[in-house]
Amino acid sequence: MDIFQNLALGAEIAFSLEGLLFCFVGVLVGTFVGVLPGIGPLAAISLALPMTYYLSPPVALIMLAGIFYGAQYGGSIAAILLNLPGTASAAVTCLDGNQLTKQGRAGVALFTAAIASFIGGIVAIFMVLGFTPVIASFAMGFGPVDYFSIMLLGLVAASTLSVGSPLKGMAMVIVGIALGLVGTDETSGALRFTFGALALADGISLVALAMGLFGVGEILANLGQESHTPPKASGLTFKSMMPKPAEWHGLLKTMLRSSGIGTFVGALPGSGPAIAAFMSYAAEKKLAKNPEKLGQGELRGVAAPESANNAAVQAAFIPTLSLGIPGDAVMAVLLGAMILHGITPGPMLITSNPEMFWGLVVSFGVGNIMLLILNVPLIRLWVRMLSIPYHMLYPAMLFFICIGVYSVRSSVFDIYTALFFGVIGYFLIRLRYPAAPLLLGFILGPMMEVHFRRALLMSRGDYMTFFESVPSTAFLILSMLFLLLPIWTMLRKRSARVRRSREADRSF
Amino acid sequence: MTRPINGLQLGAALLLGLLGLYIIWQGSSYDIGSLRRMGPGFFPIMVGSVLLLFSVLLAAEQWRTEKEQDFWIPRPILMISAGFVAFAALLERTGLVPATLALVMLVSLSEKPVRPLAAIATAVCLSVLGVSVFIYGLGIPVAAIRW
Repeated sequence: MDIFQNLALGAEIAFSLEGLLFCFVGVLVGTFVGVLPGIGPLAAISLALPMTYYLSPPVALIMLAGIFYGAQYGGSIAAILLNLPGTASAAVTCLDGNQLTKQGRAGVALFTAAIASFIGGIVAIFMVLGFTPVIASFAMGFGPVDYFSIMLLGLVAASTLSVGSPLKGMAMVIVGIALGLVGTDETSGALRFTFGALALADGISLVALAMGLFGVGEILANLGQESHTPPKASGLTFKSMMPKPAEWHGLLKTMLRSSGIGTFVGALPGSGPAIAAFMSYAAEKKLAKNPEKLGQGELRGVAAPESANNAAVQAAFIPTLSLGIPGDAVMAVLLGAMILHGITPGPMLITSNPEMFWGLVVSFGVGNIMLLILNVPLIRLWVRMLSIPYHMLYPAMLFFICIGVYSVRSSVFDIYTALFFGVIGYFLIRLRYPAAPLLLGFILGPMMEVHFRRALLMSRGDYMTFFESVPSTAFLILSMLFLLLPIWTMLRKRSARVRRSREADRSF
Repeated sequence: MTRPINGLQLGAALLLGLLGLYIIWQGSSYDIGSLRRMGPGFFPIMVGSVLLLFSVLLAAEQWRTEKEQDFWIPRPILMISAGFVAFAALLERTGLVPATLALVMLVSLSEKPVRPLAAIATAVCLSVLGVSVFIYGLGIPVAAIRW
């Protein structure tokens, strides 16, 4: 297959009227939710899910992906101006970005963030183009055993790499798998955990679950918290946004390096854009000649996390599209959306639905250019968005959640489902249980069960079958390492504490 | 160094344990089958057991956690629940517009101070938007207003 032929096929989708329109809608909505603190891309993508029922699958995916990377552009705006990360992945950008604002150089910071995001996006596109088909063809020979093991690896990595307690992450994955059990058993057709409700025979609605956990739950957590004072857009002229020529020096290198880190981290299962941003900032600090300057308003400190998080978001499509294994919760929702549209994710996807993969990749390019236009000349518009009062925003979001959940299958029951998981989602946030691994478990759980049963059926009940294939063995060993890693760091911390307290005793 | 028990975290761990037990109990009522040919009950029992294990570990972990702040927020939870229930109850009986008005008015009561004018304005805007986008645009099978 010729790559130019494929790109032409992709361009046909991405440059069609529908493709361009919904790519624009996606990046616009993405920037919007990215700008507003308190709504993340997950909530926005869940909100947009019902809309995709009216679109062709490739266009639907283009729009949902646009929301995800659009949010990375928008997230930096609130981070720089208000010291509030608009999305979790922009938290690192606050450090230097807000310092620059305090020095009256917000414009330069915003401009650098937009350019850095753009470069991160472009670098990641080439990586997606280069690696996805290769990995997919490697995975063609995967059997049920390998699939089970790689899904296990994805789940373990996602729960142990997330911020906070790895135990809580693991527990949430399992709760997610348990929720995935509800409904008709795929292999035998038996109804499980339906509580006699006919509405649960098809399982819990993905849209209702996601909107509850990430929409209603987040809104509840935001209510009653202090509001911020809106920033002024008046000082932002195009001239004030240009960095001085001397400042350009080394900035491009930082962006390229961070894009590389972001792509690599983003492609790993379980690590999202937030971790990528953090790692690139740490790398920048290690490499800098005067590391103490980072954190006091260096442009590099804005460029590094912004390149990395946008690169990571696009690289996250590599495992999703080549293996059918989502790296994080947003990818899991996108994967869920593909399944809802009757597309089987996996190594066959690129060959069976080439328009899907190539259309998406070309749309990344289109979307990043749109975002550059949205975020540099039109920046003042977004700054004004920050002054929308929350007391008008949250009723509107709740309305879209209600009508959106209902419209998927005209089911009133699903509105109650969304409410139920919304209240649970709120308590999870307060108790610091991460909800994203739950969603990952919910989507991967049923697939894992099918592969698990198939594998043991083929091996006539012999568990050793999981160690008879090379990829499967490798995935299982990696999973074990990920499980042992937090235990090891915990023990090391404890022994360090013991040592310190002993030394303290001695000094008395 | 002894820290007090974190009641909320312990409660959460216990709830997860109960959920695990329930899954095992309910799962064992389905056909378990054999390793060679698993029934629909096998995987749930596995999942429930792992959950039970993690709840024990989490119960042990709660001593290391800090206390939660602003945990109980009865007013927003109650008002949002009321709004959702009203929307769900009214949507198919009286149509989208009354359901939207009820939803927005009720959820607007979750925050103090209540701003009645802003709430009414939001409700009217969303009703218009809802009818034009969802009923005329996407064609969901619901009436705007049903008498």
